[in-house]
Amino acid sequence: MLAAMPLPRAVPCLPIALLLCAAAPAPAFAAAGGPEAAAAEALEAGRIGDALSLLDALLREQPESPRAILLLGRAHHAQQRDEEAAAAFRRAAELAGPSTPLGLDARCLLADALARMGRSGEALEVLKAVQAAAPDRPAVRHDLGAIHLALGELEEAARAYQAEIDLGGRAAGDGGGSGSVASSYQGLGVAAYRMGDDARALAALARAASTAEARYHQGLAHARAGRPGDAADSFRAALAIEPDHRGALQNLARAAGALGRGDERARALARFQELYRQDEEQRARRIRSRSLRAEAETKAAAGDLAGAAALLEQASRAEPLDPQVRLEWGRLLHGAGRLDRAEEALREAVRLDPLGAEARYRLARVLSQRGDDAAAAEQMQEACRLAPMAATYRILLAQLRLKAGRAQDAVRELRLAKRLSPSDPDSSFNLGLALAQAGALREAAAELEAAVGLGHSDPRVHQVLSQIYSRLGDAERSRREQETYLRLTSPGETGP
Amino acid sequence: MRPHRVLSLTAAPAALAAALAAAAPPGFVFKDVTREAGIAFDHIHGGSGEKHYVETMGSGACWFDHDGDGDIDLYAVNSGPLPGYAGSPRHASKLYRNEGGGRFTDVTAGAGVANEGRYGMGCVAGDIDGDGDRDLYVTNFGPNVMYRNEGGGRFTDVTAASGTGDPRWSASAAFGDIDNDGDLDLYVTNYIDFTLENNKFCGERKPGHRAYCHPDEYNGVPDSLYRNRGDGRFDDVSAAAGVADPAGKGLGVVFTDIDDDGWQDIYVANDKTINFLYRNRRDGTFEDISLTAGTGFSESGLPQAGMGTDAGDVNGDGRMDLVVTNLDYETNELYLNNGDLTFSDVTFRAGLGEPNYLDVGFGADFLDADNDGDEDLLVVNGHILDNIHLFKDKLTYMQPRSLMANDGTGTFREIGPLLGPDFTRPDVGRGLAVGDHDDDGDLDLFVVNNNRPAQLLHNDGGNAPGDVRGRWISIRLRGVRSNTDGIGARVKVTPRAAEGQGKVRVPPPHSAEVRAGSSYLSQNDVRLHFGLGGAGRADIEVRWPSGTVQRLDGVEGDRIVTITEAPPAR
Repeated sequence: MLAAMPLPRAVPCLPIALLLCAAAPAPAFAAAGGPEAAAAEALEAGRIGDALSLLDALLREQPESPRAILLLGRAHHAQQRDEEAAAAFRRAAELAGPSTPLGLDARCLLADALARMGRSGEALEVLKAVQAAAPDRPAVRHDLGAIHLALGELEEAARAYQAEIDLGGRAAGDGGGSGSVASSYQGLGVAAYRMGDDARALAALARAASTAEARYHQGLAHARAGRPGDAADSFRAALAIEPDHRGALQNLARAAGALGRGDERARALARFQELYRQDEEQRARRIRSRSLRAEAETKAAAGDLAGAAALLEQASRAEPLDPQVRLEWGRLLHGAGRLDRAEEALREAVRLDPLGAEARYRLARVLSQRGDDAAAAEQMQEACRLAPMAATYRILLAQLRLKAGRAQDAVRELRLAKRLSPSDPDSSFNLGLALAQAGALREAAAELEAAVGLGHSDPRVHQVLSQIYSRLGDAERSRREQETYLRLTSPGETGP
Repeated sequence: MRPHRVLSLTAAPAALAAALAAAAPPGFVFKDVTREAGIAFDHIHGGSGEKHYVETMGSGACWFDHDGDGDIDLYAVNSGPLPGYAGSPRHASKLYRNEGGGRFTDVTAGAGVANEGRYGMGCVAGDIDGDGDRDLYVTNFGPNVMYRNEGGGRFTDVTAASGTGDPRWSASAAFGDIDNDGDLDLYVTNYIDFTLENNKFCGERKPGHRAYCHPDEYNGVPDSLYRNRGDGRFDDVSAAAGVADPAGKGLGVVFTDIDDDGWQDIYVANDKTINFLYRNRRDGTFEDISLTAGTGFSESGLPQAGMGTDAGDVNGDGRMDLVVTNLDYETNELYLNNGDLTFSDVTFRAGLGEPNYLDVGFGADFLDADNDGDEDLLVVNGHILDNIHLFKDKLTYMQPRSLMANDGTGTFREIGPLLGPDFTRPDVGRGLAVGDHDDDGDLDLFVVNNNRPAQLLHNDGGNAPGDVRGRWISIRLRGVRSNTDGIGARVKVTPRAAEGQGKVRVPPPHSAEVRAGSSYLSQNDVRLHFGLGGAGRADIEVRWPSGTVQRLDGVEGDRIVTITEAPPAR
C-alpha cells in the first residue's frame, strides 16, 4: 500500500534487483502438471489475473498446499504487493517445512520481499538460515551480497559475492549457479569500485555479463584510473544497452570532455538534461495531482463535496490512469454518505485496476449499504480471488453470506480464511460467530477461545462466549466470561 | 588529518602510511561542555503529531563576535509552536555572550534577537552597513528578520527598511560580496511551498505510521539574492541576476570562488532537485553551470537530497572543492574542482561512499580538527523520520556523527568512533557551527539537535603541539576597502619550520576563504583557522575582495593574528 500513498520521507524500497536465490522454480511446477503448472505458466507469462483465478480454485480445494501458496506469493510479488507476498511465502515455508526444497524456495522469496519492504536486516537473517540449511544452494551468497551492497556494506558484499563465485567454481553446471556467478562478478565489481579498488573492479566486471550496470561501472573504474578513452568506450557500451542510463550519459560527458570531444560531450549532456527535464515535468504533475487530492480530502471532511469533486476531477485529469484517485474519491463519498456517487467512483477504480482487491472491497461495502448484498457478495468473491489470504475480505464475504441466510457458506469461507491465515485472530473470531449462528456451539466456543489466545482484543468475544456457555449449560464459565467482559468494558479499562 | 609520524618532508611509502593511518589514534576527543559553559539551549520543534513538514528540519546556529571584543559569541535559532502543540508557547532563539575562559552568558533579552513569535530556521551574521559590528539575519518558516547591530550588545529589527523579509520558507543564508563593491550582499535559500494549511498526510494510515512527507510532495520555491545598496537597503535582484530558478528546493548555500578569479560564485544544495552552481559573470549576473560543471547530481546522475554544503580545498591544489550531505541510501557527495569549471565526483575514491551510507547528513564543515594542515570533514546526522524504524529495519532516527579524517591527499577515513562518547552518541543532528570558542587553538563544535538539547563540543587535544600536528594559526581579517570581516577573501598559508625546530612535519601550502554562512542553517567563526602540522611559523597571503593582495612572511604560529587590509599598491 505504501507505493500508493503520498510519499513519506524515506526510500520506498532498496535499489536491488530481484534476488536470484528466489528465481522461479519453474521446472518443479511444470513437472507437477495440473492447475499448479498452469498457474506457474501464467505467472511466467505475466498473466497475473489468470494465475490468481487458477490459484483461487486450487486454494479452495487445498488451502494448505504450500506450492499453491508459494505461487500466490509470487503473484502478489509481481503486483508489488510485498507485504501480502511475504505473508504467503512465510506460510508456504511453514507448511512445506523450512528446510525442504520448497521451504527453501519460499524463504528465498521471503527474503526478497522483505528486502523490498525495507526489512533488510530480517532478509539477511532469512538468507543466512537458508545458507545454513543448504550450504551448497546456489545464489544465496549472491543475494546476501546484493543486500549488503544495497546497504552500503561493501566489505561484506564483496566477501559474499566472492563466496558465490567460489561456490560456482566448485559446482559448475548447477541449475541457477552460472547466472548467479555472472551476477556476482558484477556485484563484486561494483563493490570494489565503491571501495576504491579499480583493478579488482575491472577484473571482476570483465567476467560479468554485459549489462548496462556492468559496463557503466567499468567506465567509472577506467575514468578513475585515468583512462578516459576506455571509460568513454564503456559508457557508450552501457548506453547501447540502456540508452537513457543517466549515470552513463553524465559520465560519458565527463570522459568526452577529458578527451577533447566537445560534440560528444554536448550531445551526452543535452540528452541527460532532456531526461532530467522530463523527470521534472512528471514530478510536477504528480505534485499537482497529490496536492489536489489532499485539498479534496480537506474539503470533503468539511462537508464540501462539490468542492472536493471538482478538485478530484482535476487530479484525475492530471493522472487519468491512476485508480488511486477514484478509490480515494469513492472512500470520501462513502464517508460522506453519498452512496450513489461512491459506487460510481469505485466502479471506475475497479475498471482502471481490475486486479485491485481494495477497490472491490470498498465497492462491496457501498453496495451492501445500498441494500444490494448480492452484488456486494459478487465483488467480495472477486476480491477474495485476488487476495485469498486477506482475512478482512473473506470476513466481509462471510458476513454477506450470513445476511443472506447462508450460514454454512459463511462458515466455509471463514474456515478457509482460517486455514490460509491460521494466526489471524479475526478469522477465528468471525468463524466462532458464524458457527454460533449456525448452531455449532461447542465448535464456536473453541474458535472464540482460540481467537482470544491469538490476541483478539474486542471485549465482545467474552460476551458471546458467556452466552454460548450459558446455552451449553456451563454456568460457571458463562459467569467468568461475563465478568471478563464487564471488567474490560468498565470505564478506565484499556483492555488486555 | 595525517598519521602521527615524525619524519622529514619526504613521503613515506604509501602502504606504510596507510598502515600507520589505520592504526593511529586521533590524539584528540570532543567533550560535551555545554552545561559548564553556561549554555542551555533546547531546540523545540513544536510538533503535535500532525507531522508538519517544517518540524523535522531543525535549526542552526552562528558563531560571531557580536560585541567586538575579539572572541566569538553564539547565536542559536529556535523553532516555534505549531498548531496543536501542547507545550510552552515561548520558544526563544538565544544569544550567548562569550565571557572568556569557556563561559557564556545568555544576553538574549537585552539584545532583542529572541525571534519569538516566529518559526526560526537559520542565521548568518555580517556587517551589512560597514559600521564595524556584525548584524544578524535570521531565516524563518515565514518572514525572515534582519537585526541591525546598534553596538552595546543591542540589535534593532530593520527588516522592513532593509527589504530582506522574504516571507517564504527559507533555510540557509549566506553573506558575500557579489560585486566586490565593499558591502555584503545576501543569498537566501528557499525550500518548498509547504504551508500549515497544505500539510499532507504521508506514510501509512495505521497507528504510528504517519510520516513526514518527501520533498516530491511539494513544489520548489525560488531562492532570493539581495544586493546591498550601501544605504541600509537591499534590492531583490534574484531574477535579474539569474538565480531565481523555481525548481530549486534550497537547503544549503555557500559562497565560494570556484574559478579563483576573485569573484564570489554560489553553490546551492537542493533537496531532490539539481544542485545549483552559479558562476559570477562579474556584471551582477550569474551563469548557471550546474549541469556542465558536474556538481548537480550524484555520480549515477540522480538528484539527491542536498541538505548541508561546504567548500574547501581537500587535496591542497589551491582550488575549492564542494561537499553536499544527503539522505540515507545516498552518499555525501564530494566534488573535486578540476580548475576548468568542471568537477569530478570523487566520493567513492575519497572514501566517503561507505561510512555514512545509511545516515542522513545535515550540517557539514571542512575543518582541520587536529591541526595537521589539511581539511577533515565533519558531518552531523539524524534521520528525517522519527519513526523510520517502522519503515526500514536497519535505520534509526538518532544517528552518530561522523568525522572523516583527511590524509592530506583528499582521501578520508572515518575516525568518529574514536573521538569519545560525547561525540559518538547518536542524536538528531541538524545545524552545525564550527569555531574556536575558547581561543585555545583548536576548533570546537556547536550542534543543534532537532527537538533536543543542543551541544557545545570542546576539542580536547587538537592543539597539543607535536612534530606532525597540533600547531596552528588563526587569522582575523579587518577589511578597509573590503567588507569589515573580509568575507570573500582568500587566504593562503604556507607553513614554515621555525628556527631551532628539528625535524618536524611541515604541511604543504593551504588555501581557505572567509565565509559567512555554510553547513546547514549555520555560520562558522569567520576567523580562518589553519593547522600548521609541526611547523611553528607561516607565510600568509591574503587576496581581499577589493583585489588587494597582501603578504606577511614568517608569522609566528599558535596565535590569533589580525591582518588589516593594506591600501592598494600604487
